[in-house]
Amino acid sequence: MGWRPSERVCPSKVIGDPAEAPYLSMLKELEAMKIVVSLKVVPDYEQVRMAPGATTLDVSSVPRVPYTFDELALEAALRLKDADSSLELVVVSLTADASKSRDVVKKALAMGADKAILVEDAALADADSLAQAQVLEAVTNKLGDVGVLTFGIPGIQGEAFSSGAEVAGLLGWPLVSYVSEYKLSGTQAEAVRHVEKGKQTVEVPTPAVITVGKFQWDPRLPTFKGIMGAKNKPMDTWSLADLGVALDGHAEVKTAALAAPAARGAGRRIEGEAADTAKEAIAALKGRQFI
Amino acid sequence: MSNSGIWVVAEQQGNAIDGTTLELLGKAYELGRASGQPVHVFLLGHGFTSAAASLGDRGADQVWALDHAELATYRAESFGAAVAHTLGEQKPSLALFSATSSGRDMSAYAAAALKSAVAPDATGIIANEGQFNITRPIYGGNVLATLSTAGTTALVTVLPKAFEAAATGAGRAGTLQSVNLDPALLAARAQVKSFVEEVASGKINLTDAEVVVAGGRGVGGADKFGIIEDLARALGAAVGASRAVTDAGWRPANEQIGQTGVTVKPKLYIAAGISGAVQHWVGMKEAGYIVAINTDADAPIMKQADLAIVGDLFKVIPEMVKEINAAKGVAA
Repeated sequence: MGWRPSERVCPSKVIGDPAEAPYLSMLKELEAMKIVVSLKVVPDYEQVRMAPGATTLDVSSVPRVPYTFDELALEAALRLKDADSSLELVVVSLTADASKSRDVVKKALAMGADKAILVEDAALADADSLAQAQVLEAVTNKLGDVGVLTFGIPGIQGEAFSSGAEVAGLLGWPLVSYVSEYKLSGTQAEAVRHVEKGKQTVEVPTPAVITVGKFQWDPRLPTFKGIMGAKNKPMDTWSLADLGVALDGHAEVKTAALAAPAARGAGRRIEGEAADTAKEAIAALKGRQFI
Repeated sequence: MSNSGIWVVAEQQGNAIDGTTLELLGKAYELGRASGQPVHVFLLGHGFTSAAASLGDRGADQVWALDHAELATYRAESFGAAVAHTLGEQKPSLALFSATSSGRDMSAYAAAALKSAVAPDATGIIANEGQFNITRPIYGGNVLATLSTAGTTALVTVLPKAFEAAATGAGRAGTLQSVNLDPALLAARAQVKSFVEEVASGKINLTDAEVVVAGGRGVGGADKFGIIEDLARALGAAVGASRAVTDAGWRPANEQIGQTGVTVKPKLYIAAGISGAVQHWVGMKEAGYIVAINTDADAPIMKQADLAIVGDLFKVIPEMVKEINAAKGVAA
């Protein structure tokens, strides 16, 4: 199943018996196209440090933040909703411990998302990209009427990241990756991709997966009104059983060990008058045959 | 151990194989020699005629070519399906992709089709009893994780600059073989409406530059970036920028170095007016020698640089340019 564009009701075209209108608006509500944002909640990577020689890492006390690129995907989706309030924006977050994710997800609601779903299961702590993608595939199918499923691009902030591309592959949906902005028009999405060699404009039919990978806009800050409004927005917690997904503990990719990266030795510091520091610096560069 | 070989999924433009692909091939050749497995390169696209020619000399035993009009422009669905189908048939023990926009897409499509997972962003790969151990930076590079793989084919994306490019002189056959698959597999629903190339011509390519001079917020404006260009010119360096700079529109987005931009690994990196937040650091930390110029002696980059110059870049850089030109015998 999926979003069926032919059955969407466009209110501007409703003419005739006004008594039908409430029924039609209810129908519209039922079939509002959903934009689903996959939002990973991660320890603030800038605060994660590993002691030299350590083999284990405890991040339990590190504050949780949204994964940078997922927050960009959220902002891009919020901009679509700004333009068309009939869209329903759902935030989905996979977590091994919902108590650690709730505040970040609540912030997404305060920013303007309509609804949040936390999928909680201890097995998600060790989920590889396939397991995460399978869970998100099941969430998408359970929600129904999803027009766009959106993620941030993969990066090196956290441990295991499901990439939107793998979910696109499982769902059999088209994918547009590394997008900075996109818009929806009827059953089409038009997206601008920024890739290594340039900028591409791509059109795809929905439903589609879109991964966002560029700072086009800074994610908005929640307003006071948004924060108050978020208290009344639904935040549901689903289990893997609710989704009919079983993770049997088998993973194709597992984290086997952790280590601190080799430390860069403390360097040399030069201070003083500009002419003197420049001379000293250039002498150092010459000594290393850079000049 | 599965002996069906190590595959490199190539990226190329016309007949020019991307540098990142040659880095994959360098690693594949080394792993292949160590484990007695053949090395295969998979070229896909349209209209490449001589791209395969030098690959044998760089270590490929076999080159698989899929040339089809549907692959003339990159679309994730077509490229993903082609890769998933071919790897599913050939069942290599290891398939390497660049951690580029298209490499990440293709590896994920392959994972979905093979019901497997991707080991992403490798900076190290070693064979381990028929499987592979992959090193990858996590938490912005603050921690190194070792990942283990299971299953028939390990799918690994490799960060640019992690490995040395394959050298010539390997003397392998590089036997060319066409890939035949049902063209219906290559149909994609996405339509590319336009493509604007943003790679600056006539400039030193930032990703491959041996020397990079980068400016940050401390430069203060688009009109003041000439000072960074002056130093770059004197050193024969490429110009880079921090995110604050490209966000402000002082420099083009493709000059941004960092997690959301390009990764560089020059022999010499000079950061002027850049504080060195982790976001930036992960994009240049593998540089051979790092020089930082900053008025703030406590800026993060000043604590990690090999040479930290405490001072005003507008005063220090002109003096440096003068010194360099004097050293080179150029009239200032």
